[in-house]
Amino acid sequence: MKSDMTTPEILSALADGQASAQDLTAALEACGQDHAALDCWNTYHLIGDFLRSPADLRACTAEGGEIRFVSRLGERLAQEAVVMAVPANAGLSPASADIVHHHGPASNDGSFRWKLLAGVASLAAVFAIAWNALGLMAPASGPELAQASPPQIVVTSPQGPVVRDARLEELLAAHRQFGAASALQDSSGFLRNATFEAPANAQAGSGR
Amino acid sequence: MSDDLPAPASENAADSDALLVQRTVAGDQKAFELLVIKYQRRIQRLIGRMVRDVDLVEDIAQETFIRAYRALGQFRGEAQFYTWLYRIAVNTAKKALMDLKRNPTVSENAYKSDDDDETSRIENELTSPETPEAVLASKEIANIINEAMQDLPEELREAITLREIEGLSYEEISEAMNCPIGTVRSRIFRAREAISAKVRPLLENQTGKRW
Repeated sequence: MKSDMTTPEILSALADGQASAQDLTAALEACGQDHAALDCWNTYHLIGDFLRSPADLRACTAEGGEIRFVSRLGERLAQEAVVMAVPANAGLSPASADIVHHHGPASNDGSFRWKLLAGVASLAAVFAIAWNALGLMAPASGPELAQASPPQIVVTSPQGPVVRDARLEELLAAHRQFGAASALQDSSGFLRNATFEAPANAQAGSGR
Repeated sequence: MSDDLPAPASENAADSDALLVQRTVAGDQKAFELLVIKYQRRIQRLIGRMVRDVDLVEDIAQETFIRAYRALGQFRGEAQFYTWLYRIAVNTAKKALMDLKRNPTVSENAYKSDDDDETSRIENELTSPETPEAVLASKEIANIINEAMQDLPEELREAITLREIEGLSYEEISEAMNCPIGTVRSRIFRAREAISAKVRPLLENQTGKRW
């Protein structure tokens, strides 16, 4: 852009994003000194807004609504304890020395309550995962008790010495019956011997 | 509401927004004033689609710009300025509507009806907060701009149309019109000046005094 442009030319170029930083400086100076420059800027944008969508612009264009709006806003901004943080940007000279740093949340930040809720939920999730992980890594005492070998004893059997669970031996001893001795093993004491001898009177009768 | 978002071809305009934001953050309040003048109509139109009461629309728009001004130091420039401002406006309007719901003394007229049937549309028109004078003034401005466009020489009309309605950049207009970028800039400026010359008397009559 040439630097010999008039203020309206610069504002027109600025409206289209075609102005350089030097042009912008000149335009801002002009707007600060002459309200006609602000008028020009407003009218250029008004024309653009109407050309793009003539409807829905009634309230803010009629009866000087736009001017009233900007004036009102200017009064409120003047009352603001302003808020700007000066960047370490060389070449830009701050126009106001009374600058108060604003540490509040951005206006489009989300609600703090949701952030708090999200934080608590995250902590709970981490705690649950850590708890499970510790449970897996800790020595498993229960299963090892179940796997411990029971006390064993050596008993004598017809087949020779046999290693048996002591509890099994106790169980067998408690249930051992005192029946007649059999040719079978002791553990079969519940069996009864069958006899094939006939009764004595039956033998006598048959001998007659 | 999507038509309120910046057109893709307006990247250069976004560059000028970035410059103005930089200047505002550096403490130049006049730069912020330029941003307000540029976007106040779009922001009010956006809020006006959410809230019916025109006074409330203006209050919410004011609050939107105040909030934007306070938070401008945190604007990182990752999004376009208007996109960022748009979100602030929507959040501010939603918050205002929530506050209205909690406050039973406020008229229900403030709410924009979601119904789009014939009955509610007629009702909205009958209870529209816009005065007949406002509607008339708006029509007058639209008529004058249209007449001024018709009176423009062909090359000026084409240039301003490609820029403002089609959203083309100077480079694209230069290619379309087969002329240098400097000529494009000059034609757009002359078109704006010609239209402004016819619009300004009307605007001055409305207010008597500008700014």
